[in-house]
Amino acid sequence: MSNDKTVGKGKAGVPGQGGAGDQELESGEKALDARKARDAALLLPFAGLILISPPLLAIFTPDVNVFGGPLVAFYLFTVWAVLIVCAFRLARRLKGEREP
Amino acid sequence: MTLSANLIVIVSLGYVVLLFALAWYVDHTTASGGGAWLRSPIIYTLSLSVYCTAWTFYGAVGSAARNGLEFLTIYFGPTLVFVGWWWFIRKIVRIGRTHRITSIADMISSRYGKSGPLAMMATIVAVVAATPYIALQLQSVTLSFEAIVGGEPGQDAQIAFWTAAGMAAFTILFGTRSLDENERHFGVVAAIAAEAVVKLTALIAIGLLAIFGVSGGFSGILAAPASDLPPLDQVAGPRWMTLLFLSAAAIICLPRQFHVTVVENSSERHLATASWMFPLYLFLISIFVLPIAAAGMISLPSDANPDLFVLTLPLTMGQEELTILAYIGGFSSATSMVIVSTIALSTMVSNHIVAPLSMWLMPVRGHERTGDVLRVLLTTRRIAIVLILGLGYFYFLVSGGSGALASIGLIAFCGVAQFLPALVAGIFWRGATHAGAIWGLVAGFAIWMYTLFLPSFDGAFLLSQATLDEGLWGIGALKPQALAGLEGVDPLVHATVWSLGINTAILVGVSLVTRQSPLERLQSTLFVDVFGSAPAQAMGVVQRSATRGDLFLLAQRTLGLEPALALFRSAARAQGKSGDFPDPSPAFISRLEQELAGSVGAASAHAMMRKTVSGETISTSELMDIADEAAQLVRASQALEAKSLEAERTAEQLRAANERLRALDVLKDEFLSQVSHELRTPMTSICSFAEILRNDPALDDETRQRFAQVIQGESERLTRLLDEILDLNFLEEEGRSIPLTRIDAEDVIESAAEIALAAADRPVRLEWGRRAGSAFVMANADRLSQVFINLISNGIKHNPGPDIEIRIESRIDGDAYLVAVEDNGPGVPEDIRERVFEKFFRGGVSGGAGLGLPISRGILQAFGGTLGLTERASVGASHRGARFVVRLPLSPAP
Repeated sequence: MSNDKTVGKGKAGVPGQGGAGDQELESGEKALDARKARDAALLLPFAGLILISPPLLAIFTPDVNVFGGPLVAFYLFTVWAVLIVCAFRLARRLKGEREP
Repeated sequence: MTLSANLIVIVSLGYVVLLFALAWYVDHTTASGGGAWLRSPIIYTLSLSVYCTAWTFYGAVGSAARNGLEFLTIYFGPTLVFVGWWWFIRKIVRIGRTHRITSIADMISSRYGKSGPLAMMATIVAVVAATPYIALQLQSVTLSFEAIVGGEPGQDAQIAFWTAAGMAAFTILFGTRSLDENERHFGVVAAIAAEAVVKLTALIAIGLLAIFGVSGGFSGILAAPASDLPPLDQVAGPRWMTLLFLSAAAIICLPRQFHVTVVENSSERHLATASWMFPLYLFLISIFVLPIAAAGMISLPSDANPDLFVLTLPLTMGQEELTILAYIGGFSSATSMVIVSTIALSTMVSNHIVAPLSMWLMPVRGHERTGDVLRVLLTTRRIAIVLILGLGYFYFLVSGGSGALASIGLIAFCGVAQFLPALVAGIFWRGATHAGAIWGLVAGFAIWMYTLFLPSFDGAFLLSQATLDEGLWGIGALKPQALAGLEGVDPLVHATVWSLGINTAILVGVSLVTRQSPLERLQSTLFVDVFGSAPAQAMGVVQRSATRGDLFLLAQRTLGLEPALALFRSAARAQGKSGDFPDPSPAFISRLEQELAGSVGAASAHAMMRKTVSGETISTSELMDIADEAAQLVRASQALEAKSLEAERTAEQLRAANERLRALDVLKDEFLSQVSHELRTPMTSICSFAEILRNDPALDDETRQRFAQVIQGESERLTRLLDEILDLNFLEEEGRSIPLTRIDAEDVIESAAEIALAAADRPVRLEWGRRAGSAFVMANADRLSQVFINLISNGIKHNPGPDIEIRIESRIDGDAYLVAVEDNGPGVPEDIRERVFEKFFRGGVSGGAGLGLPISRGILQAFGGTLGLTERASVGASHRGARFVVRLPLSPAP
């Protein structure tokens, strides 16, 4: 099914068909981008969970100091901040989204 | 240093008055249609921060001082859930908005067939689980008050009592003003949002003080020996993961959290903002916890309660204003939690416990009055608020207010997490059944009570100290904190694993062996496919009938007269009726039930409706339709895609057909001009010769004779040309309808060769090659003969040489009959070999109109054969010659 679709899109986008084909391609790209944003939104919490769970966390437990604080605290707050930034960027992309 | 008790009481009261004023003002503004800013995503996010209670404000620092980074898990769980809003919260909010869900108990009961018993059970779990949590808030207010004024412990009960009473007053005033259409309380939300700002500001201020104000400053903290710092190395392990899990569950399952996230939500878009802003709030509120804990451990005496560092740190440093700010911050956290919790819990109690009970006790027919149900519910909510706060107060008294704040909070987390299996299964698994949900919940709740809640009283309530140490009836395997001999595990981990493990196992196991009722099946489909199904269609699935009068009576008793009238009017308008009363169609009854559910919960609304309507059935076929709807949607979109592909293909074909038509049009024009050109040449000569004959009487007879001959010859040529054109036309139009008979083609060749040679104007040598003997084909003898004559005469006509030779051979090739006609002429150059079959193509010298070969080919095609042209195999040094090959399918003997 999806294959047929790509073929169809490709045909419509043949050069010489004019601006309509390009527009269609562009809207297709946008739809793909939106899907990617949704996929990322679905994956983000799991990435976060893995980063703050024991196996990975154990790497940072040795008593090393960074910027005056213990490494593991620094690491946890950094992961947290990164998650927030990612969520912020995704939220901006997903905000106007209607359910497909 | 201490501050005077009066000052603190005045400050507290002043703060409370401000909150009252804010809530009153906002309620007032929204009632008159204003206050759009209250529906902004920022207010929504701030109201979510009711998650950060006194436990966060005081307890996080205490937890950090005792257990290091463990306090972070309480904020990581919600962060992950909100960052992953697309998975879970979004779906829950959509369901909540679609089905007018009023509480988490309502959500669960609505999903499992609008079950009254399940709603009641969930309410009991929620109230019991919230009790220690509310006690925690009372305890923290009491502790903080004592810490500031330096009072003796005897005052505990008194302070806690007045705190509880004040909170009850606020909640009753602003939380139960009406059975709001959507259970939204703008005044309360505004107050909560304001408190969120207050507590964040206070904590940040103390954090800055801890970093820059403590003797030695930041470097002083860093230089302190490790024994004076929070233990930061205990991060991994089962307790870490358990806390992550519990806090993630709590952010949805806590009744107050469900209330602010789902029930008070006014737009799904707010979730997108909250998905990063709420984690950011948590981040900001946590970032100063470690510095405060470290500063407290360094600068305060070692016997100081770490739960109160936030307060005692500024107090010992003589920072009076900051101390009061910290106190207000803690007070804010405690009050906002208690207010929202009691609103949520009292709604559950009145909707799921009192409403079903009062339905049995309700006055019989003839004694109903407008709004009586409404009044009963409002009153019971107020009573419930007092009772719930009373329970919290009771827990505080019995548990002696001794436990660390964090551990009390975690008891509540584990309790409400019992909702999680039923909730998750309810929105993702269509097969989860009512029996599975209720038994799982009951079992999980019982285990939680036995392993965590009751032991928290240290033998002072229900479970004796002996039972705690020896197990129930002295059986070691039943020891509350070591079930089945699971010793040496952290009590929280132990209770979580057992209660949630068995809860989930029973939910799944029982669901697999029990069946859903039709209503349950309907609800499960609507919940699981909330993004796919159209709610409007579901409205007509439940078939039932009632009189308008009964329906209106029910509506006005529950909603009040005005809202009921408005609802009926709008429904009548939607049905296109002029009066106030709509037809009591199944769809309208369902809509009314949904409106009632928004006030009293799905289970009670359904039960009330049941008493009013008759003949409730669920049409199985429509149920199937709905169940199928998601699949249908997928199918529809696939069909659409297929259709568009088909349309594309059709367009392609149309384009091709159009091009072919254009080409044919060009051909037709060419043909016409060719024909007129061909006609014109003989016509011109006929005309001019005829003119000479008429105008020139002096011509001698011989010349006249010659001219007349020319005219005759040209006329014959014209006739031939017209015949050929007609022929061609005939072949193209009706080639398929030439009557075919079974004839011997060999005979036809011989007679055709004779005729062709007789007509030749030059001597021709005919040579017969190998012959097939006899070959029967389905053809028309005259037409076939025409083809051969044409081929032979072409060979003669186009041969300029003096010594003309025609060679004919034939043979049978499989089921085809092949005839080759060769000449010793100049042959046809390869590049024009296919063009000789085009109309009016003439290979150089004059002759016919150039229609012979196209006609021949057309005739053969009508017989199912072909006509090809190749080069003759070499016969001499210079003469190559052309070789026409006729191929006809043999006709089998009849």
